[in-house]
Amino acid sequence: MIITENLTKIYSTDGGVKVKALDGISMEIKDGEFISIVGASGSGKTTLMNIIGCLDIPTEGKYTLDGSDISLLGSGELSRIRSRKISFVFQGFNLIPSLTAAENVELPLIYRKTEPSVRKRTVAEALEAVGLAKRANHLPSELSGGQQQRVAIARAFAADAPLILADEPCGNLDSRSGTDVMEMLHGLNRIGKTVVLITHDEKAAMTADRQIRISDGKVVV
Amino acid sequence: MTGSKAISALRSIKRGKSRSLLTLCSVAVGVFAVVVISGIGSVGTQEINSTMLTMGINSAMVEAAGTSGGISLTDDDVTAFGELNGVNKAMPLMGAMSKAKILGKFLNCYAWGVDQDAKDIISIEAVHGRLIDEHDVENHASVCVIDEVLAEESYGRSNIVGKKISLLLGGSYREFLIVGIAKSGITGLQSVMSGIIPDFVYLPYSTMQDIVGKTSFDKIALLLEKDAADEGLAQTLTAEVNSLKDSADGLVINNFQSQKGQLTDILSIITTVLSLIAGISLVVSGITVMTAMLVSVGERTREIGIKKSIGAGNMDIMTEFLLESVLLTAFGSMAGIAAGLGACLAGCLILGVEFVLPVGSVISAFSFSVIMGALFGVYPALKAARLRPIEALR
Repeated sequence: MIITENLTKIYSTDGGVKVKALDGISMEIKDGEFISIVGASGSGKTTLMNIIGCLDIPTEGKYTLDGSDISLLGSGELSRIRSRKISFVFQGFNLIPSLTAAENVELPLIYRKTEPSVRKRTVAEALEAVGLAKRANHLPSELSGGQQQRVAIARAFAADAPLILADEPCGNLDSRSGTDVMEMLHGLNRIGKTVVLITHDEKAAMTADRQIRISDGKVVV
Repeated sequence: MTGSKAISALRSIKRGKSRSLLTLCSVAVGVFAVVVISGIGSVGTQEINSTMLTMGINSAMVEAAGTSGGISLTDDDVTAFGELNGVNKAMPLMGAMSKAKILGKFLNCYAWGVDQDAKDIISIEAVHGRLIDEHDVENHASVCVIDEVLAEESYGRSNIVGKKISLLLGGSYREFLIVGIAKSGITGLQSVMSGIIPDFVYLPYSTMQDIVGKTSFDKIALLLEKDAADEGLAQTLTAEVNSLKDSADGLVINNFQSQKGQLTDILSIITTVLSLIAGISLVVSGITVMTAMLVSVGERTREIGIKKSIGAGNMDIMTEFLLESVLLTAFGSMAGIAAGLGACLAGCLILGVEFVLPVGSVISAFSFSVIMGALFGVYPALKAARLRPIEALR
């Protein structure tokens, strides 16, 4: 699913200083794996996730996602790949505050121009799967942190993308909700999705099939 | 899909209530101005048309061109002109600025010397009493018919048949008996403009001739055959009357048709210029829309980032913001149109004139606002669309 070769990312700060966030990362993640990318804050793991998630492009190196060479694509194509192949689960949930839970889950389907009847059905299934069918018409402000994250997972479920990127999904949650969320991510993995978990939490990382450790922008063996 | 985008745009508008309302108002004010101005134009044109009708659109006046070489028009000419092709009747007409002394008040007026055909040719109608008849003309009677407005201005009521009025003619005031009250020719307009357009009084032309010491007339009024009245006829008649008087171009024919044309032209120029000025205010409100949208984009950066991360393309984001600004201007212009039409209707009711719907302007004001919403919304929409998700999500 994911192959990176010598991925490097260099930022220029305002003062003209160059920061090397990623330094020659090469790795491979197979279809259907549950991988955890582990590192301390500042290690470059978020930068790596942004590139894997097609939110950013590498300065050097090559990134192949599901067979396509991402490094050659323009922003229009990047967003198309994103919408079809990747779903995100963010630390801050990132739900649209003015939309209800159901509408949030429906959003990726709207962008994908799915038919309305199919959309309604998929949304209902997704909310059912995360146990929030009764809260379909609540706004995010009316939901707890754990519930909001579950809506985000339902959104990922509904979008049915082959790759799920979860960036510190339990970072803002209590341990009980955190466990629920981890269980759901594993559930997604069980139905065949490739899950990449980015975290600094060792316990969560150890639930993955494999860990890739990052430090100072490099893979640590 | 555009349906859900439209709903989402509507929601965004509702969310920023006060900002949306202010933007909406700025558009509404501009559209209101345009609609009211065009309304005035349409109603004004209508009034001119109907006024000209009451003044006798089928009438024409033959008079000497300029003051020099004065060709005088006589009784024989009246007969001769009356028999020309396309002419129904002819009537001698005299006119002079005058002052009326009535009930101790001095009012400006214009005195017309007419005969019994005045009813048909210059369309005067008696609302009280009678009009000048052939006996008055034969007897050189000191009688007159006055405009209703003159009666109202002096006595405060319209039926003052039998009262006396002194008219300043030929250098001194002479007393006349009022035998009839005529319906004022220029209804709504005159009530607004009395003082500029003098009130009319009508007396037998023979009486007027005696007073001013002439045996000829200033003008001859013609009633044209109904279907014959057009620009071509005016020219033909001009040639014919001149040849009857053995003159090259000593006589001219003033056809109300062309005067109406002149008046409506002037009116349309005025309304066009005023509309353009109102259009400037619309442009200003367009800038307001752009400002409001830019602020909105700035506030929703994170939301745009989220949407892009879940699959929104640049076009999706751009459509969303464009729809929002177009809907804002559409609603604003609808409000402005409603308010503008309401004001026009109220004004017409108060002035007692007929309400004419300026359809063309309503449509163009609406379309212009919508286009403006799209134009001024493009830059903010583009800005939103081009946001890089990674920056937006920071």
